[in-house]
Amino acid sequence: MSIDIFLNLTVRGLTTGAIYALVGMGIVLILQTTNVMNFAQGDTGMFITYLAFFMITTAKVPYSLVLILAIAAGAVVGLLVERFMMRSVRSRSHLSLIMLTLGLSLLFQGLAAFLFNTEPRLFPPLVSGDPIKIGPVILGRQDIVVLLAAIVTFGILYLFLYRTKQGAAARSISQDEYAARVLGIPTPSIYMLIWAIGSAMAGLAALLIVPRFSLEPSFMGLVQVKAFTAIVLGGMGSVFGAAVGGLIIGVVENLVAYQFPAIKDSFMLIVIVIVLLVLPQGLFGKGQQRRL
Amino acid sequence: MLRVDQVVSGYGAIDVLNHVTISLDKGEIIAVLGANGAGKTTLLRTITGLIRVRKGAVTFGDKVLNGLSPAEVVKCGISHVPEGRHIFPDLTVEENLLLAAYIMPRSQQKSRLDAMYAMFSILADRRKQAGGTLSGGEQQMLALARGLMPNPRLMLLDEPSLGLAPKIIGTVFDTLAHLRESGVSILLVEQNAKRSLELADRAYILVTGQVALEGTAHELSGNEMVKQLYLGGTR
Repeated sequence: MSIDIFLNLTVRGLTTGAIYALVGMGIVLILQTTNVMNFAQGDTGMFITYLAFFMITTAKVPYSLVLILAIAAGAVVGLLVERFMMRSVRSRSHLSLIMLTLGLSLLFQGLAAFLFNTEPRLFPPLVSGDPIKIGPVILGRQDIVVLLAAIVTFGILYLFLYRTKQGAAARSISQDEYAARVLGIPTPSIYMLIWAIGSAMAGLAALLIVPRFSLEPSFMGLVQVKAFTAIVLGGMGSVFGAAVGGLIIGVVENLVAYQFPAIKDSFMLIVIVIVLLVLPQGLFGKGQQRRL
Repeated sequence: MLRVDQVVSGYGAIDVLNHVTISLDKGEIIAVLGANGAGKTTLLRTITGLIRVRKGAVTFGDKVLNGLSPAEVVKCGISHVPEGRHIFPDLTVEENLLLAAYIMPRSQQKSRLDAMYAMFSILADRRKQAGGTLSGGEQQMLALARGLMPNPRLMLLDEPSLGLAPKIIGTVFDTLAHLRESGVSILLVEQNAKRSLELADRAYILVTGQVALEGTAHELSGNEMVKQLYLGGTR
């Protein structure tokens, strides 16, 4: 492998990794604050992408507005999911909450198939035009958007968590939910807010990656598996870990795919097993007590 | 000011409190004593809305608290310092304090924060330090300060002396005496009956979810049963 090819594979891997990071950060955010592993994160994004597709084709929404509208739609979906599904089960059992997210995933797939049918469709990239050459690296315009979107999202998320009182409340809940309630923090509205943010991130990630696949109800399945690998690698515990984990997975996957195309996807499962065996805390995990 | 009237509450199928009636006047310190499992903590949790009132009523001033969320109860002017302190270990001292005044506007938060730093100078020194790095005594001071942040009219304290060195326990009780002078009423749940009766105006003894005995702290200190069971006995 020449150095130029290596560089190209790495940078292109980073853009894929940025998507895994976006999905993974959303999962970790929801997991750490509400203590629910959201198996529907990928399919939430898939469903929102269908909504975006509908906006473009049927409602004739201008292309420039679609990204913002899709993020807003994601937030609304997250809000509704928390308010009308998670909240009523929260007091019962933790396992049922997790099962509920699995059900939610199927629900989104079913809804997408029912409303828009399962025919694969092409979803055009948000920005078009010739790839850009930076030194030896050739990068598509959409890839640059993806990288920027991941960086901006990470920045906004950081500011939210560490500079706003709602963010501080979310972190406090992740450390000691009982104490947060005792102090009078309105935990239900924080949960709703976190689901809204997490789902909006799912929508953003799906919308950015869909041009690489075709739009069909199952297109986020594999992406979600990779995002899970990313958060296991990052240590489950931190949004930062999920981001770094996602980038590493993206790069490694791209390099492996170049040398051994056949094992590209199964390789990630090997990574999960190895990480869990050798480094169960992940790269940035601090054990149980720290959750955000 | 606070009335707990024939209250029944509990967890799952079990009623822990069975028709408990307690009252507290403005400026009073009331101690609630009792063995483990007598329902002391449940009483506090019921008042703050962490668990539901099944029968009876909790009123504060002329407000009925039944069915209010913990956040709404804090808004009414009642704060709760939980057993075991429950400091957020990875948040700074300042973040811990600010979260206790979550509902307040920014400007008010700031002035409460300054008031807390004036009252607990050790917290001012440690404001940027993570809560989990404080010593047990410092954490209890932080827990008390969190209870005071929302400027409550009534503070519920659950075992503030638990697990602390005797010298620090002294400091905690001195702080409580000082709070009384500043006009905050206190409902104190304690294992340390001797100290509590010295501080309190009146006291209730809970036994298996019912008020077995009530009276002024002075009366109860002289009561034979109380002496035997809670003050270490006298020969």
